Amino acid sequence: MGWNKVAIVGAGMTSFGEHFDAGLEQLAAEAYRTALRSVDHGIDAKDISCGFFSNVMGSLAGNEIPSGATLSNALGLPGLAVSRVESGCPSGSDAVRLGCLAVASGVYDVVLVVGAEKLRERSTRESLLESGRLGHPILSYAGTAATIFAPQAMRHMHEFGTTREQLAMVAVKNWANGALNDKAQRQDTITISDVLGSPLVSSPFTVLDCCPQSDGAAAVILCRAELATAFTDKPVYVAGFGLATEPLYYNEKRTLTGWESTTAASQRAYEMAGISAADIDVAEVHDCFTGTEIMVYEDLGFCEKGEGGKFVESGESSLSGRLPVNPSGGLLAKGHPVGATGVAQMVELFEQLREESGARQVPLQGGFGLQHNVGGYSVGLSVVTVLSRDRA
Amino acid sequence: MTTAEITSAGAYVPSTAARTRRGQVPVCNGDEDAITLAVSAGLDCLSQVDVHPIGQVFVALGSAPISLGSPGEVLREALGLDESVPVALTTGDPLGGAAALQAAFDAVATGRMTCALVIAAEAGDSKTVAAGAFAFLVEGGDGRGIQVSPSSSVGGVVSAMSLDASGRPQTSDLRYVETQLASTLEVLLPGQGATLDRVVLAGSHPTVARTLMPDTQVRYVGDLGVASMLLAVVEAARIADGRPVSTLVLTPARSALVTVTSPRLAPGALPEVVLEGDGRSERVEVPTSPILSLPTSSPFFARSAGELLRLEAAECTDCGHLAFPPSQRPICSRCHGTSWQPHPMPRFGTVFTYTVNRFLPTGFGAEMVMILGELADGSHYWAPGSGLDPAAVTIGMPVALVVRRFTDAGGIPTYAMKFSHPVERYDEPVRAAIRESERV
Repeated sequence: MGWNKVAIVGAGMTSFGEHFDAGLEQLAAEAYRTALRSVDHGIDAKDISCGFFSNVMGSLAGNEIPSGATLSNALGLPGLAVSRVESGCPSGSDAVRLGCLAVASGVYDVVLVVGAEKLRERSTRESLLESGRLGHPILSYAGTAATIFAPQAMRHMHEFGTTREQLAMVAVKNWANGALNDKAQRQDTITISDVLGSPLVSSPFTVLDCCPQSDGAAAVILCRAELATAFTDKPVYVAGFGLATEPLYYNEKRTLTGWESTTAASQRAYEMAGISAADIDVAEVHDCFTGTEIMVYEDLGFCEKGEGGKFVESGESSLSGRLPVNPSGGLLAKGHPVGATGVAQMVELFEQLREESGARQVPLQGGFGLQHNVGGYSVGLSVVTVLSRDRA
Repeated sequence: MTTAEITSAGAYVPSTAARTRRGQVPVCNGDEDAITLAVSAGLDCLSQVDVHPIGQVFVALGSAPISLGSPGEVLREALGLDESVPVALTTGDPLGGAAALQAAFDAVATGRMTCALVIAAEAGDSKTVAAGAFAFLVEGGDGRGIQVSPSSSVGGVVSAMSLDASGRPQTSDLRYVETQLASTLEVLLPGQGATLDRVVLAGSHPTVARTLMPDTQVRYVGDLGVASMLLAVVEAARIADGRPVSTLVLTPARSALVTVTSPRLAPGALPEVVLEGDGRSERVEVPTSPILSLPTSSPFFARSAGELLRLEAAECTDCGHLAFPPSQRPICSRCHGTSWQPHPMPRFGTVFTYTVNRFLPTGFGAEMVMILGELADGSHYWAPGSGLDPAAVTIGMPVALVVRRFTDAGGIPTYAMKFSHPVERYDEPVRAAIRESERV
C-alpha cells in the first residue's frame, strides 16, 4: 500500500526555548546524542554515512551562509557527507524527504537528519524583524512573517465568517497540549480572552496568535526498511511524502484562503501512502499563526473548505477529539526554531506511533500520522509527510 | 508657425496639511515629494485625452531635493512615456513653471514638435508656499483650447532671505521685500494696472499688487511656488469665457504677467484645486524608510522600471497569460512560451484583503497597512497604503495605485506604487469602478 521503503529508527530533540547558554553547534549535538540514545538496540555513529542539515539562519544569526560542514564539525564527524537544506519553514521536513531519497537510492544505508536553529542570538525584535529587510525591495517591502500569513486570515474571515474567537481557540488548544510537553517553550495554559486581549501584531493576529522566537534542535535517524529491525523492534515507516511549490508573490497567488502548495503536497503524500485524510490518526501541522492552522485543516482535507473555524471550535482537533492536531503544542506553544521544526514534528509522530507519548498519547487506529509545514520566504512551498506504524 | 494651445490640464494637491497661524497649508505627505507630485499631476492631465505623441516633457521643480540619480527618467517612466522622449528639468527657479510653459509653447508653435507636456511641481515650505503640481498638454490648436500670450516680466536682485532655526529659507525683512516688489510691479504693470480688466493673481505678497490696482477686480489664488503660473492660468481659463484675463505671478525676485484667452470649457475640463481650508489631515506616512534590501545603484532597479514605475505586466503572445513581475518570469507558467509583450495594468480597483501591521522593523514607523488590491481587470497587486487611515480600510473599498517614494535613505530616492484613495477625475472606468464597489 504505502511506500514504506525507509524507516525512522531513532529520534530526539532538545527542549525548545531561549537557550542563551547554548550555541547552534551545542544544540545540534544534544539533539543528535539524544537521537542516538533513542535507538533501542543501539547504534554506532560510524554506521552513519550521510547527513542532511536543516538550518535557515546559520550560527551567527544570519551573518553566515552555513554548509553541511557546520553540522559535521558540530557532531565531531568532520568528514561526513552532509548537505545543508534551506527551504524556509519546511527545511526540516524537506531535509527528511531528501534523507529518505538518499536512503532509498541505495547509496547510503543510514542517514542522519538534524534540524537546528538559533534565533535568540539577537533580540526578539531584531531577529523577527530582520525579515523586513529581505526579499524584493518593493514587492516584499516591510514584510515580516506576520504580514505573510495575516492577509489570508483576514480574507478567510471575510469569505467564510471565521471569527477571532475561533482563531484564539487554536492557541488555547495548543498551549494546553504544550503544558503537557516538557520540551515545549511555553508551559502555561491560556484562555480565549487572553489571546484577544494581547497586543495586535498584524491584523487579525495578536501576540498570542503568533508562535515565539525559539532556539532548539531535533534529529532523526533513517535507514532502509529491511535494515530497521537491526536497530529497533518498533521502527516507524515513511509511508509517503510530498513537496510542492506555489506561485510566489502575493499578486500571483491563486488562492488567498489557504496555500495551494499544502493541498498539492498533501495529495502527493496521500497518494504515495495509499491513504486519504480520513485515515490520519494524529497530525503535527504548521501553526506558525492560529489562522494558518485553521486554513491548513481545509488544505489537508481534514474538513471542507471554509469549515476550519468550526473544526477547531467543535473540539475535533483537540487532544481528545477525533483527529488531534498538534499534540506536542505545535509551533505556537512548543516553539519554532525554524530549521528544527519539521524534524521535531517527526520526533513527536515517532513517539506517538510507538505509543510513547504519555499524557499526550493519541489513540491509534490505522497507525498513520501526518506532518505538515508551509513557508519559505513569501510562502513558496509546503512539505507533507505520512508516517506509518506498520510496514504493510 | 502654429498657434499653440493648452488642450488638457491636470493637477494634484496633497490631502495632508500643516497648521499655520492662519489655518492650513498643503504639505507633502511623508512619502511624497516634488517627483511624486509631478507624476500625479501628469497622469491626471494625460488621463483626460486619448494618446498623443509627446515630443518633450518640460518640468520645473521647486526646491531641488535630488542631487543624485535620474529624476527626469523616473518621471518619464512613471508617466508611461517612451525612452526616446527627452525631459528638460529645472529646479530652483521661482518662475520655473512659467519658463517651462513658455518653452513648450515655443516648441509647438515653431513646429519642432506637435505635442509637449509641461509640469510644475512644488514641494512647498510648510508655511506660506503650498505643495502641489499642475500639468498641461500643449499642442497646435484650433481655438478650442487655452491660449497663453508670451510673458513680460521684471526682476531684481533681492537677497532678503536667511535660514531659520531649522535651516529653512525665510524672508528676513518683509518691508524690504514688499518695497522691492512694489517697484518691480510699477515697471511691469501698464499704467499701474489701471487698464487691466480682470486679474488672476498668484504667488507671494498679494497685498502689494492689490495696493497698486485698487480699482481692478483681482482674484488671488494662492502661492504654489514654482507652479504658481500654471495654477493662475487654470483659474484664468475658468473665468475667461471668451474674453482675455490678465494673469500675474509675484515672487520676490521676478514677477511675470501673461494674458490668458480661453473659450468656455466643458464642466470637468479643468482640475478643481483648493489650497485653502481646513479639510486636510496631518502627515500620516513616515518621511523615509530604512535602506531597502538592494541599493538603488543596483541594475535591478533599471531592469524593474517597467514593472515598478509603469505597472507593466508581461502578456504571453502565445496564450495571453499575464505574468508579473515580468523581469522574474521569463517562461510562461501556462503554456511554457517565452514570447512576451508589455501589458500595462489598470491602476484602480478594490481591496481584496489586507493587514494592518503594528510590529514593523525599525525605521518603518509605528503602523503600516498592506493591501492586496484586485485591479479592474481581475489581476492582483500587493502594496502598502499611502494616505489611508488603516482603521478605515475594509475589504471591497475602492483604491488606486499611485507613485510614491519608498525611501531616500542613503541619499537616492526609490519610487514605486502604493494604494491610495482613487481620484474621481480620472477616466470613466474609475468612476464606474467606484460605483460598482459602492453597490456591493
